[in-house]
Amino acid sequence: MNEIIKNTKIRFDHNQQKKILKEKYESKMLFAFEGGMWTAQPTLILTLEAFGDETIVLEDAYGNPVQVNRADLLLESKQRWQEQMNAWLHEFQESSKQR
Amino acid sequence: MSKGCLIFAFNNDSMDYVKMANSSACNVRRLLGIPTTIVTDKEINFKHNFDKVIVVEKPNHGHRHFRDYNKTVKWINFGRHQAYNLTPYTETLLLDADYVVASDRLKLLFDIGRSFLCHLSSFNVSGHCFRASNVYGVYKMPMAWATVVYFKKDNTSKNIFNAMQMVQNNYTHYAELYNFQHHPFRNDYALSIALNINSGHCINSNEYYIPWDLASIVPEDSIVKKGTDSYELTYKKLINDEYKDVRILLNDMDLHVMGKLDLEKIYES
Repeated sequence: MNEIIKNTKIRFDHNQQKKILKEKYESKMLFAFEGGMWTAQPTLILTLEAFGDETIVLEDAYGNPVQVNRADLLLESKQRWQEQMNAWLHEFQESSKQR
Repeated sequence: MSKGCLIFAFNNDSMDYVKMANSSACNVRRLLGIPTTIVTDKEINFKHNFDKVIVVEKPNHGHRHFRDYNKTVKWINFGRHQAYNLTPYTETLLLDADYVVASDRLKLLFDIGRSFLCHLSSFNVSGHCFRASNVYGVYKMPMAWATVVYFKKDNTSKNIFNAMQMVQNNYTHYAELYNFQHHPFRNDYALSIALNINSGHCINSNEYYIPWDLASIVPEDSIVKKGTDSYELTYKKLINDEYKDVRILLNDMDLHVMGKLDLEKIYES
């Protein structure tokens, strides 16, 4: 009984939870594509949107220039970014309910 | 091309690393879809989850004080460099027995196309400062973590593991060179020096590093399992000049649980 009372008194650390979720979902934005390592993020998506060429050379997460199919990388980046942002939002909202 | 996980597990008087590795193998199969091989010093006499059991001679050991057990125990951690020769796989994920796989994140390592990968940086999940754990020696060299290592059977990996062996065999010399304590032997230090040698003593190279940080739980904090791949971490936080217990939830997140007592409870539940 004492253990239950003790546990109910432990408050939820919303600030740290927020930081951990950010860390977790930022890592989930990483993906491998056509020999490069990429981070799905607005900068990458907008860069890919800004060009019309079939292929493009971009610097990957390891600092290497990689030639990729622009449309394919754009599709992959958008999908991953949306998927992970939605999951992040869902988990953030769930954790906000914790007391 | 074969892919698999390799775990070194040598029991001591207090900790059953083989059982920890067995639970880990189950998670590895479920989340990463790859088999696990264990390297240990005795045949396993219970129904296990390993694809293969490699029995080797018990390697040398040091002694280390474990705060959660409040005692000094044998720390059998030598011989990790043998991973290269012992692995039955062409692509290997080498994990410490205290690493809890709770997501499919490590699958990505097999897609990156690198020869060798490990974590360069770790953070304390409770948010407390962890800077000192990410460097070694008086000169504060950046430390690579041997907790999670991905390697291919190629010359690059072979050179790194050979260099690790050289460091292990001449540990006192390297301890004096880099100015760190030469007891107990640490694979993290041996790996860091080996990578440094293989990078031509250039510490700014990121070619061997996993592009996210290792999430660690220190023995002072308490972690319990709440469900499948779901954990609750409780720790002390300074609130209004008073240390109070606070908690957070960790879902689908891989964790390096440094408190072995908590780890045993997690795997038993």
